Amino acid sequence: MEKSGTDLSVFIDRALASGIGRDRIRAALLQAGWQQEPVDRALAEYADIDFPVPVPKPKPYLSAREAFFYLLLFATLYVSAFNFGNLLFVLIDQAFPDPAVPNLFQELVASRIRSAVASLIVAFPVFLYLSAKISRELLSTPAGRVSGVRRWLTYLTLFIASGIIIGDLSVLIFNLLGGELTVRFMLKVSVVGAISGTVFIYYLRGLRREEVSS
Amino acid sequence: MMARGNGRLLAVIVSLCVITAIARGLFVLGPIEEQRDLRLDRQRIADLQRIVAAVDAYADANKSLPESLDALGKTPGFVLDIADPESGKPYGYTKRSSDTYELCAEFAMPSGAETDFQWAHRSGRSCFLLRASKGARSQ
Repeated sequence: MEKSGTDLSVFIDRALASGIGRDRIRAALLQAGWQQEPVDRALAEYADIDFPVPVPKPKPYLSAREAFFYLLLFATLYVSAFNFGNLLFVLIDQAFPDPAVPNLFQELVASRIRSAVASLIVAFPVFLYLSAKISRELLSTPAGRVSGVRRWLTYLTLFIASGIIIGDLSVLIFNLLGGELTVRFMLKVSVVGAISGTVFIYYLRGLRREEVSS
Repeated sequence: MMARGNGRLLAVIVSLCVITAIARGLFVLGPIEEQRDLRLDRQRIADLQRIVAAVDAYADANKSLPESLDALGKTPGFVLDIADPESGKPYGYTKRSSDTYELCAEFAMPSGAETDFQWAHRSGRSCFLLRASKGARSQ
């Protein structure tokens, strides 16, 4: 995610060294068929300083510390979201019991509640703390710095969330066509949709905001 | 990743939802555990009743009470639950006289309205003094 192509960087380096202005370089590349984004990113690799030789900017590198934080952030997000959904499902089952399910399985319900609550109590506060910490650090980072780990994990999360939303809608329509729409079912569909939808929208907006500012 | 105002509000809303769900979950947990205890107590009573029937049959056949519950279990082809379903500890059995004996078990909760009078029990260890009925079923 750092370089869009060595030949692009070499070309820009030579062009800048020859004293050609950035706008002309950009126009020429676009005309040659390059996309806007890689061109801007490659140009950004060289500082806009008046110097006979083009001055390279320090490149972002994959920091292990960064990888740790983002991996932990998204791991706790997934654990929290899943267990929150699980807990809500159990509560919905308790409020609207399915007559087909015998009472014997009540004991499984108890352990389901316990495990969901336990995971939530541990993972969710960690997620909140990391979210706050990371957004604070982002505000103090120099503009134009791209974190590969963050982008990859964010897009991965968007992918998972969209997959879940698509699946959720499919199940809804499937049951709609079958004619069986109990209150319990509708509530469960809504829970899945609400959780995955919230995650999706929140991180998509975060990405859009970042892409606009860079 | 998190705009100051928007993200903060979302965090608060989601936290409230999570806390509410956790509270409700823990609240619902109580009655469920209670039901499990009731079911186990019912199982214990049923086990004791089966033991009584077995002791009666043994006494009828051998003209004396068994020395221990293991002696009952030795009859081939006859399976008897002589241990607590939860803890695995064997039920207490003591011969008191030639035709009376005591059966003990540990119960999770005090007996309710559905338990027969002679099997009423407190929570914790309760014992029942029983008399072997000879030949009661052959009539």
